[in-house]
Amino acid sequence: MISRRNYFTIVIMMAVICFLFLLCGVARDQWNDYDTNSHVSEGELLTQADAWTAGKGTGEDSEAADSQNVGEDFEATDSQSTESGSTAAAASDLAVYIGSLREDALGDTVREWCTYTKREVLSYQSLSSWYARMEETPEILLINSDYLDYDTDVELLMEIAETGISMIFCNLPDVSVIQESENLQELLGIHTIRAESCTLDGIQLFEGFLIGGKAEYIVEDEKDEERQDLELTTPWYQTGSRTKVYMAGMMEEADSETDPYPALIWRSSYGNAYVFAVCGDYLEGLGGLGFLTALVSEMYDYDIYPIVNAQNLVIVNGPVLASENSTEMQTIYSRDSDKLFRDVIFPGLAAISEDSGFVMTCLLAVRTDSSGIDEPKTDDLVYYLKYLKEQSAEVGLSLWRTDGASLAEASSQDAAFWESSGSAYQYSALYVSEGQLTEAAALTGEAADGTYLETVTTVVTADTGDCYLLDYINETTTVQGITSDAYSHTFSEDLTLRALETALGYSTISLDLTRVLWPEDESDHWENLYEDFSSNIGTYWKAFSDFERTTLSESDERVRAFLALDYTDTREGDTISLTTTGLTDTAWFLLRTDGEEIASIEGGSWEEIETDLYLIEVNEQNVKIILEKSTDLYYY
Amino acid sequence: MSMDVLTILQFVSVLFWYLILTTGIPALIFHRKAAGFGLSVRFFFYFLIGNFSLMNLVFALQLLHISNRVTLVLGTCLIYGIADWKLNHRPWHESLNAMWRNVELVLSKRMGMKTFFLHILRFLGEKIRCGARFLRTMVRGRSVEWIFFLAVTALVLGQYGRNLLEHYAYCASDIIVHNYWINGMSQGEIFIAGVYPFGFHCIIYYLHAVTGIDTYVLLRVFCLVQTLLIHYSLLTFLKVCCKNRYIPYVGVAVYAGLDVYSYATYWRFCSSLPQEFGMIFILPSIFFLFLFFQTKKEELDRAALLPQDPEAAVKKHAEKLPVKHTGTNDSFICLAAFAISFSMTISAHFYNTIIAGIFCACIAVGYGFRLFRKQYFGRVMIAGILSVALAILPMGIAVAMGTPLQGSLRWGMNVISGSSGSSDTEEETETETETEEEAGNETMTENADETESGTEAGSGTVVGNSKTKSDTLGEEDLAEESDDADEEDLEEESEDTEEESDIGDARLISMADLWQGGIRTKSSGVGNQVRAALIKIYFRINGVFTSIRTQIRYNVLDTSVVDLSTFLVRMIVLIPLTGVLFLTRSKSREYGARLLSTGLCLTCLGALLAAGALGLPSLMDSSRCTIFFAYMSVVAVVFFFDAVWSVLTGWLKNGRVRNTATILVIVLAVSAVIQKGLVRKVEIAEAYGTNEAVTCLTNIIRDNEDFTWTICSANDELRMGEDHGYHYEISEFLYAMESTGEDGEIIIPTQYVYFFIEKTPIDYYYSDYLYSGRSISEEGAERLLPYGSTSSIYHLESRWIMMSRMYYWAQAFAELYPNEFKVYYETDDFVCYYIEQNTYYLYNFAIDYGYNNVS
Repeated sequence: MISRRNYFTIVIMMAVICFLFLLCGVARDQWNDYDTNSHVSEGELLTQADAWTAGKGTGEDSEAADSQNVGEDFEATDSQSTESGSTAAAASDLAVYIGSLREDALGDTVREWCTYTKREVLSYQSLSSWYARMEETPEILLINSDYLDYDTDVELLMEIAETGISMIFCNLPDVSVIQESENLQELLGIHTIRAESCTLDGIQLFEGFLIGGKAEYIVEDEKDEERQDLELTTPWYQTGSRTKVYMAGMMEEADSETDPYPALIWRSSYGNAYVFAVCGDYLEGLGGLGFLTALVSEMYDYDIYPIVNAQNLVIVNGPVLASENSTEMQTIYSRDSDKLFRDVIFPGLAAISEDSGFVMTCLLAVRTDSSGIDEPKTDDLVYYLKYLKEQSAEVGLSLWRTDGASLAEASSQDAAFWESSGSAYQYSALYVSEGQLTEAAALTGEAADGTYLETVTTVVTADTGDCYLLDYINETTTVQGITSDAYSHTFSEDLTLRALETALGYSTISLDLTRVLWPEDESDHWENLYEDFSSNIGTYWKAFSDFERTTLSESDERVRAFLALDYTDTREGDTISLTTTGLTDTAWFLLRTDGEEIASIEGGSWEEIETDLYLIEVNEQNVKIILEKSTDLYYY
Repeated sequence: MSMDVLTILQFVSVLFWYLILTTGIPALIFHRKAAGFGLSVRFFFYFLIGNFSLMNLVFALQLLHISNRVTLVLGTCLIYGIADWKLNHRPWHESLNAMWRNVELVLSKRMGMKTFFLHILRFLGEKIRCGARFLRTMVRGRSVEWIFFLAVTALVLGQYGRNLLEHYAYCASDIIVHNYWINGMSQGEIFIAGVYPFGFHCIIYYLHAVTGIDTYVLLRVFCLVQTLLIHYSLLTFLKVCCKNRYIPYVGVAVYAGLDVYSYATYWRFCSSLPQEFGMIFILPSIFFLFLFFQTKKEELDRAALLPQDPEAAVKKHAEKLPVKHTGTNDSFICLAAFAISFSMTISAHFYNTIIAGIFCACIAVGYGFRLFRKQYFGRVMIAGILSVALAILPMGIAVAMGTPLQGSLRWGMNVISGSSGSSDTEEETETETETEEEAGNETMTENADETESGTEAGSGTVVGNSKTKSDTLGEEDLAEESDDADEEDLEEESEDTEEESDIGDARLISMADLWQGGIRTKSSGVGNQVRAALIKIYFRINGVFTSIRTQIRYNVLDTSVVDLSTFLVRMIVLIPLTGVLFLTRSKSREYGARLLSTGLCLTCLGALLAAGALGLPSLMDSSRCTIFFAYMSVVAVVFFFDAVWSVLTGWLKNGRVRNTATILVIVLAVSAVIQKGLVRKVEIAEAYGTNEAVTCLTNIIRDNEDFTWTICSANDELRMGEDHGYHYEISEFLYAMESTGEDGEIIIPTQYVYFFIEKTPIDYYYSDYLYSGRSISEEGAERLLPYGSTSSIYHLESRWIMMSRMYYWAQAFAELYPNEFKVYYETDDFVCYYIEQNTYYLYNFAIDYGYNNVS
């Protein structure tokens, strides 16, 4: 028996406690401003018209600059390029490419890289034609070896190197060609050709070249076997003195001291210039952007270049509002897909997001099955908007369909739901699958006011087609390419990731939940996929934790700022003066030094992300960076 | 942190550790046993025990090949633990039990942490109070002495410490060899280059292994520690032997601070060398032999008196100096201390043994009235034999195990046996070559301890004088002087010396002839013949003293300010005579015997100094002899003045008045010395390396993990950084690309490679290149690359060519790798480049730098 007094006391206490707990929930629910997208800035976005194009920075009309843009025919090449060469581009901003910017994969990389690094590029089909007409000394000569005439060009290249023009052999000619030409060997710094072909055990990337430190791509266990996708057959070039190797093969039979490993990417000092050689196709594709940046950085005692500074984690088709594939979901998970998303997948994703620091951008799909019977529920939408708001995540849209329906069809099918939902959320990101980018450009460009797609400002896709990784698809909409699949991280993907982080400080990881919803085998079960992507995200992005984790909207803003930016830099003594044009609010740069540290910065701030590598945040048009020697002796 | 501050801290830490290990710990263990002795005797006693145990512990562990930090610490604990258990019967188990009980209480939470720490604090507080009480008793009534002591310490540190701050590198060419030998001990290989007295090396190795201080740091700063102790040893010896309290301080001050001795007598104090280390043990051994004769006599007297009148015996011996009370085995302790001290002179360096041996022989004369009694003679002989055996034993074991004698040892033995004769230098050269070969280092200056003496042996008188001359010249003047001028000056002075000696001899001979001629003409009786013989003897003796005076004047003394050679020669005569006078009085027989022994020792050293001129076998070369002569002359002269002063002030019964008078005279003397400008200017020794190189080495060791770096330089840093990294000879480096250019292969498989290049090559070793100021140049680089297998390739012009080549190689390499090949440290005279390598893909340093003769 308890007294009445005690009884009332206990009841009151319970009521108070209950009230306090409920209050938290109620407050969270009431004050959750779920119908607004807090990741979208209120200001006006930059458009394609603001983007930097070659020649724009100098205020001159450069045909070569125009010719870089997508859709322009650049195959008029030599004559056109030569004319554009006379546009008095600053030597430090000019690159010459011996090859075709349009017809080969290397050309694509070079073109894209030059855009991102704000360089003008001139393209010539042959070395002699450029050299004969050269009016301006380029900063760098990029060479596709397929376009060289080895009977005459080697001596010419040596002559060019003597004049101080550094060059990058974006690929090497066949080993027999090199074998026959001693001059070419001397130019490239090849001491011996140990074997015309050898099979490597692995590849090692040396420290200080790409961001992320050194890496060894060698199969050591079963998992590595799955990850190994690099080309391991290569000629065995042994470099001599005057050289520095950045990437080399690994062979158990070779000893690094007495029997150097096959060199894959290296530098040779010849005459007054550097000659870089890339043995393999590492410069093709997205990875080439980073390799080119890293190679050019090696030419200088310091290098500063703009980057995006954005790391995105995109949850593709998650959540799906309609309950789909119920039979299979029930069989595997004993629940419908909507419950699976709500009770299993999203709590897991929230945990990963919390651990890794990534901010999710969830590309919500109303449905993925055009013929599905179950209708999406508005309550579910509200629930996810609130839940994701609490997780600081952003919600975007996905129009992906299992049957491959066009964007227009999918959009019109979903329109009814969006109208009925009355959602005022600003869905600024849209996911489109391979081959739908052109349609997306049209759809977002033509989106009538008042439709739910009118708020879309950026499109994310795994296949950017003719566009660059980061580009405009129409006047107002950007495209952001997916750079990594969360479930997979092969050796070549790792190399590409490092290269992209080096060149752009950008990555977008795609975590596609379609595989969970429409599984093909056991590997698509959530528990297996979860294990894969949690270990991948938790491991391979650690090295890039200094770059900012963003949502697609935030990243979109940075991409626009990056594309609009132009800059010049000069150094006097210990002071680097950086002048930017097209700066709206903030821009980010990477500064590489050689044994120097930043003492102070005017007009920005900095953070050291690796030895001799600094992330600079620029807030003003003119920035001064004061460097100091980092090797002052402790005992003096 | 500046290198100066670092050097001071290093010196303080080395001094601290050395004194703690050699004096502090023995004091803790043996203080009860030595409680009856005065402070000075106790200092000697502890110090000898400490050094002796450490030395022999290292010998034992090294010969067993189990020497490392753990075994050394355990061995030390074992030795002192057993000693403590045997002597003090300290109940260690009870202390440990009490400690464990406390820990147990804390662990079982029956005692709080606060209480536990309070107990510890109380314990520490008690010990600190105890220490403070001890210090108070030491200082009480002796404040003037402590002031003098501090003044003398400051003087020694001021005189010899400056060199440490001026030169971070070694100041003797053979230290690098000792460094190599000590490094060998670190690798478990004692006598790496042959059997040699390793006492000094054992101590340095012990300090390195136990405290973790780098060997090269120890060798840089230990010289000041040992110099301080040489002076303390002198001071302590004089303190316990002299009647006056303060005169010993004056003696040490004169030795350390007065501009009377030549540079040759003390320049070696700027280097950590075995001979100088061994000097510390000469005077303790002499002192304990003195003390043995005294205590044994007292013991015998007491034994004779005790049965009849014990009180009288106690009264008689109560005020004996310096023993406050006499125990039954005090004489045994003294003899044991003598034996271990004497053995350490052998363990450190044979030259010290020669001096100690001569002194012992003189003691045999001085104490002749007592030595040949049965109670003394046998014991002294056994002690002497045992001491020699103790020192020789480790070396004997090593020889028995097949280790050959070290080259310089053979040379030293030849000198002593007289077989080397006048060809010391040649022998030395051979020794040098042998040593180099044995060290497995083709280019290193691995001349043994006698290397510089080899140079001096050839021009022994010149070295001292040349420095004396350079003292009077400003640095600029010196820099302007050409090699030729130097040579001429040196030759002139050398000739002057010889001429004066010849003139003196000629004058004497002619006078003797004149006398004899006169006598012959006047008479031819027996008396006259005797007279003539006496005159001849007189002139012979006069000739001897003239030779000694000449040697003293030109080798021992710096006569630029005041010439004390005549004074010293007179002292050689006067001191023994004074000793004899004191011997005649029974009350001062002990004192007289010491005075006589010391005086005779000085006479013998004088003879040794002038052995060549006197036709005597030369036991050691004169340049070394001067050091000992100067050292012993202080002892003798201080004894003499102490004796005179005791006679003069003997009538003053009041001790305080006597002391005041002494202090007044000292103050007046100091004033006069300062007024006369007799205070010695601080001398800076020549360094055998650049400050920049040592600065870089220190930073490299600090900045990098061990064995991740290589220094490419002339051989100076080869041994200094051996415990931490690798070394690559620039000669090998240049040879490897000389004819091949970039087709050659120079792979240095460490992450970091540092290149030490002297823009102004140091004037290594040879004085004729001194202050040439020749800088690296294209002219030098264009010369043919010098080849050779000895250290000569780094001398004189060869070094200039090497450095010039290296400099232009560095310029060419920097063009190829402008971002990778960086300057680590640069001054007007020196530059250190470094490059970080990818250890998986090393750079090939072989290039065509424009001066290598690429075919």
